Amino acid sequence: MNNISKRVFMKELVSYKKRSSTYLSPIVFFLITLSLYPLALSNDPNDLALLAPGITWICVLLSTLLSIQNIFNEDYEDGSLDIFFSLRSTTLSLVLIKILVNWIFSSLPIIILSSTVVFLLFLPPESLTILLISLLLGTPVISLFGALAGALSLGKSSILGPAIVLPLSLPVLILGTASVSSFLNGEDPTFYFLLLLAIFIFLLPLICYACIGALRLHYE
Amino acid sequence: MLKVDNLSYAYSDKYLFENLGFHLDIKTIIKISGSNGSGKSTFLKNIAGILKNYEGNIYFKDENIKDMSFPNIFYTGHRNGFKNNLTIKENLNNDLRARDLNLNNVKKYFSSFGCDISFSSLLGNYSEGQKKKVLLSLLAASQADLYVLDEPFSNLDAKGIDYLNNVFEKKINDGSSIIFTSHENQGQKFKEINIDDYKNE
Repeated sequence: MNNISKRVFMKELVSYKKRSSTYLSPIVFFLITLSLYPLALSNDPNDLALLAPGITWICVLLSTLLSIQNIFNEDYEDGSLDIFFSLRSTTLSLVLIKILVNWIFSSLPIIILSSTVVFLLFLPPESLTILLISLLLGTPVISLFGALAGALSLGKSSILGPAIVLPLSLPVLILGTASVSSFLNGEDPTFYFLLLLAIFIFLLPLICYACIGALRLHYE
Repeated sequence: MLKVDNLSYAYSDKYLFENLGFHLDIKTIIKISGSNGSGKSTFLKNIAGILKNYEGNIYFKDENIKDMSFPNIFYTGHRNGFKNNLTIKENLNNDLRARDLNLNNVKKYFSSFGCDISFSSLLGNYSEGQKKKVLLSLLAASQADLYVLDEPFSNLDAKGIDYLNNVFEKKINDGSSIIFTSHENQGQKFKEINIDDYKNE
């Protein structure tokens, strides 16, 4: 990691740490929505256990949406992006660092808190590991879509963000839910994990370069 | 040090300026003047490499600036690149422009600008003028070959303006060059280029 990348990384970490609403809002939203399902749907543990993977994944997707939009917007507004481009450092490092730090602060706490579905939605404890692996593989892809939405909607309203992220995230949602459901039905979830991993590996360079293109387009 | 050769920039098919050309030698200051919306900030962004879709060429140390990586240029635009939710110290420590920054030096320059505020307080608590002084203290403590500054004199009080003139003098003596935009009248002190002269009506 060169000196500039290191400083971008440190600035991102410090900045996110200071903006507690960025990571606290998704956590609070996640816990509230998760706890509403047993009240609204059913209090039968068997019914809830059956729905738990889908409900958890929907809550994770909606919660991360709160923080992944406009991840470049603040840097654009305060002039940090201008300064970054003036240094002629590789924009790829900026995009990767932004996505990584965003994932650490917006998705990782939610993944950890997903363990609560064992108590709230009666998910069988033995399938918790499968749920956590599916989230660890799926949420980075959602962060990638969030970065793309952020780069495309630079300096514009945030309505474009969910409109891009939600439809694109549907395959991840389906595969993530299917992995846990298949395990509950006694099947091997490895196929779904490999698919999620393949999606991430395929999209990582593609979306990073799309983000760079969208950012540069804004400066032309 | 800097050679601008036949530079033209069009925005939405309308040229902001055309065939702009000059030489900026080492240890020289050039002031870019012009009316509002004439393209002064855009021109500085061309030099800083932020806007690259211009016609013509810009050479920095005999190399086309478009092909350069990590040129030792300190750029600051209308927006200072600081984050209001960080302390002054955090902003300075993580500023991308400052290479090998000594924070004590920045503090020294900061008090010379007539300011006495704690570096551990949030930047957002201070006025635009004080934020400008933080930025200019960073500029004073930094070491760059070329300083590209958009409106460095705006939002400054009389003491700040005097001190910034001293900083400019020190930078020139240290072997740097400066190009800046300004609406204020600095007399005949600096070589001046009026960007309105390069408009083709």
